[in-house]
Amino acid sequence: MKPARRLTLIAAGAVLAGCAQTANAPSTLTVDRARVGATPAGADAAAYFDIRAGGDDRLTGAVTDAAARASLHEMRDADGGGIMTQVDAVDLPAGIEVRFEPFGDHVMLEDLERDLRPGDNVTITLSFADHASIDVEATVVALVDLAEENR
Amino acid sequence: MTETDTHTDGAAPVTSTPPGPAEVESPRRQVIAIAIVAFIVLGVGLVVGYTRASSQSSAAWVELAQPVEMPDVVLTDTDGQPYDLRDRTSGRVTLLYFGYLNCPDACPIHMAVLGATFDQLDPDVRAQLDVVFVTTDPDRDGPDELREFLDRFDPDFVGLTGSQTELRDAQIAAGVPVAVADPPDTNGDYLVGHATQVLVFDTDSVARRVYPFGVRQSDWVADLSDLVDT
Repeated sequence: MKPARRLTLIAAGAVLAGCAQTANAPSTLTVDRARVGATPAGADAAAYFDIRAGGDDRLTGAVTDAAARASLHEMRDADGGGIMTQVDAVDLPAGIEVRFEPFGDHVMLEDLERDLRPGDNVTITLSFADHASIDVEATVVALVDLAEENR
Repeated sequence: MTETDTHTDGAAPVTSTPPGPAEVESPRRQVIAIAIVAFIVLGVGLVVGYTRASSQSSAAWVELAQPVEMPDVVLTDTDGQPYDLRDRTSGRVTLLYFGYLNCPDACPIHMAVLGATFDQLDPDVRAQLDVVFVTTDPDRDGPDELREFLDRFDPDFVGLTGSQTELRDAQIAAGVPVAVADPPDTNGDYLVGHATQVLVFDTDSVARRVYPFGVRQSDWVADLSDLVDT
């Protein structure tokens, strides 16, 4: 009984590995609701969006046409509030919608090269561990509207 | 209306001599009267409760388990002048926030919402309120930079800076997690982890509630109008 069971497990493992390999090649990944808080030139803005990856992936970086640099920031719980921390990557578990949102995770657009006014568009290129880079068109929204969308 | 109901009840048995209306009533009538009174009291209570809830509690804030006194520190305002925090805010309702200018998310959103809120507030209410933004990044945020940042939201908002030690003391006294600067990256940029809640100090210089994040303008307008005496 024992050897048979082990054999079945090995077979199942082989099938799973096979699936993962084929799924990896064209893994789907969608980015929705991309938006950036209205911010004047010279200051730093935050970009938000929802990402859903078909297979386990990681967001590893961002660049934008609106600022010299962009970096990933994660909100971590802390005593009496949250603490914002810069991170190298954000995990994107398969099939889960990961929301970057106000007072939470975001992409920071550092030292804006132009004023971002509500209604403007910003291109952000997101790069991933597995999936090819994606160009995202983010809409600039008023900061007060970002607070309203929370909760 | 409670009184009128019981009086008419008591006035009904006119026949007997003065023993007082309640005593003449049968126990069953007493029970009914008590039930009516209880029902009315409950109703009034619900209405009062509802009005209080709708006008006062936005549910956006969290009560502090341990009330906090306004930090007794002297910092530097955006004119470069000393600013005695406890002294200057005494007798006023004060919204205290620790943040820094390179913060792209929580800081400008909080300030933008407060700026929009102040535009909506009755001038009498507004006159009794202060917003005090204390930087946790004094190396980058000088008085001029603070003024420029706050003017985006409201020219009356107070901006304060100080030495690292003064600012650390202020954060400890305010009971917020002390902001910690991450090591600088290759560009020399660095992030400052910081608390993201707004502390609201009453006129007695004691904070009893904080607004963690994501507070809507309508919540602020309702709550701040209730917090000051008009």
